[in-house]
Amino acid sequence: MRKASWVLVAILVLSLSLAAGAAQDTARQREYRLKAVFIYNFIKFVDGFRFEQPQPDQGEQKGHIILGIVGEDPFEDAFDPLLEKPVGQRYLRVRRITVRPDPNDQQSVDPNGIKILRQCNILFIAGPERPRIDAILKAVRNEPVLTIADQAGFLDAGGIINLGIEENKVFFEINLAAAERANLTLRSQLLRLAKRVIRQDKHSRG
Amino acid sequence: MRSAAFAIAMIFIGLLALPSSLSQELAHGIDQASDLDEIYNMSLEELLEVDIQTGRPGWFGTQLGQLKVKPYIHGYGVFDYRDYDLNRRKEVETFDMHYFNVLVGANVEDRIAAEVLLEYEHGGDDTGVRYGLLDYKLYDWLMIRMGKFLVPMGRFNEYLSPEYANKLPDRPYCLWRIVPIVWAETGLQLRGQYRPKGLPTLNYAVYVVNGLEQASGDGGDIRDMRGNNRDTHNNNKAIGGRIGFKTDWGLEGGFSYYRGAYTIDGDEYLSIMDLDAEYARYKWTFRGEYVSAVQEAVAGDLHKHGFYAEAAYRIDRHLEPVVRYDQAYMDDGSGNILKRTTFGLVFYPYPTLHPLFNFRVSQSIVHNDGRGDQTHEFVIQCVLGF
Repeated sequence: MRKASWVLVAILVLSLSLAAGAAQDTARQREYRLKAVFIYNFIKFVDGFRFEQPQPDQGEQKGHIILGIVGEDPFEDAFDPLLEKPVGQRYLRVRRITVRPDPNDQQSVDPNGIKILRQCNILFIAGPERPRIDAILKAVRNEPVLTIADQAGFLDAGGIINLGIEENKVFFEINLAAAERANLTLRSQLLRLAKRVIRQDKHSRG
Repeated sequence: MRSAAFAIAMIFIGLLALPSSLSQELAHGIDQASDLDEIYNMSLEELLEVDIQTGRPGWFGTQLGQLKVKPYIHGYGVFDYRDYDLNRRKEVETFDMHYFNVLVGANVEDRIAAEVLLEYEHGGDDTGVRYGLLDYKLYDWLMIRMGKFLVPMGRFNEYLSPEYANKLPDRPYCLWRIVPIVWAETGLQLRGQYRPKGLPTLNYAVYVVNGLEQASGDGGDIRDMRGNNRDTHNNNKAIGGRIGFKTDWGLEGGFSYYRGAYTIDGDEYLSIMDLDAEYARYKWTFRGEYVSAVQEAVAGDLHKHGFYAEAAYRIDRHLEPVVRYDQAYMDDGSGNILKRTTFGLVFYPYPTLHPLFNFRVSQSIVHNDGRGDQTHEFVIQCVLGF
């Protein structure tokens, strides 16, 4: 009987572990689903993107809005329903990007990576890329690329929009100086909804 | 009492007619969308209100936490050493953890407040809810109070009854036997304050409550009528109110009135009237109250009355001597008038914490304890609000 009890306990512990993991996944999925819709909505309030010319097979359709997700993608399929929803006359396309350091300068992204990053209209820099944030932002500095992340210190590093969580809700904050350097215009409605707007940063003093 | 029912109905109709944007916001917060598909059609404004996690552990309290309800916990403790407690007629020396009362409450956007005072008296021998109320500020000059609240009868019951705010350890007789302090009733109250131009600030309250009720018969002790938290014997409700004023130069005063049936059959009425005044200027504080009650009884109405007068002088930041004379006539057939003179000294160890933390010692000369005897009371008390 004692053996049977241990089996039961083991099954219970395993079940609880799996259940806890599943619950965490659900919360994380919901968080990034929300953040995906935030990013989709940001596009409506930003002017100044530079779009690629449409390919011949696209007919009258205008170019896509390219969202690059740098590093490990936390969104999974969160953007899927949004790919069918036009923003103006354009559609969102998601590109997963892995960046590597420049062999000659570890503080920079390799030239091919820079090219890919600059082809994007929006860049979401995932959490694990934190050590490379300076290099990634440097690669798109003064380019019309809307940089977004969800990590503390992102705006201070020169990013444009940071997503955060407070009291179980998503908020966002904006570095307007960085947006101006990127020649992007953020509409007043967006600024009004931001929890914090930085109008000058250490990069603008330079 | 149809007029009471009508008054209650009018109050609620008035409440419903008021702008309800706050309640709508609260309802929206609790009832927000959980369907993932809805998220994809939301605007930025709507997204900012969406909870990341739904179906989480916890119940209504968890949701209230998300709605930025800010709860608080406070309380006060009162520790006594007593030699002859006249009010309770215990004639031996004793230590007493008189009160260790806990206040729990919350404030929502400075318009809604809820507070309960959980009473643990005499080391836990007596426990209960001294008051539990919900306040809803309709306008700056008008608030509705619902629940079990301290009756606005004079100053003492509402403002000095928390023992740490009183200057002497015990209450006057008349505020023990005629106004049965601490006195809380369950019902509805409208209250507020308003300052007409060039005039003192006016404060006012009217209420409808279940009212004092005697367990059986008539003509009993008013103090024993408290605790009618739910009316079960008759529909009669008690009504009352207070109007007061406060000047910029330290004078306050007010008139309070209460009337309600107190017998189970609802045939006999009790009326209580209270006149109160306080003058605080420089280092002096003078207080006084006169109370009178008419208690209907089959054998003949009882007329009870009493008063107290108190003076205190703040010698310095730490010491404040107090003297009070109080008396009460209970119309109990004995002809006795309870009389007492009390001398006290309040010590404030930390004047900045006044009156939250102090020590008090008092010696009462009881000229008549209700049995025609002379005796004395001696009390040392420490009080701490936290």
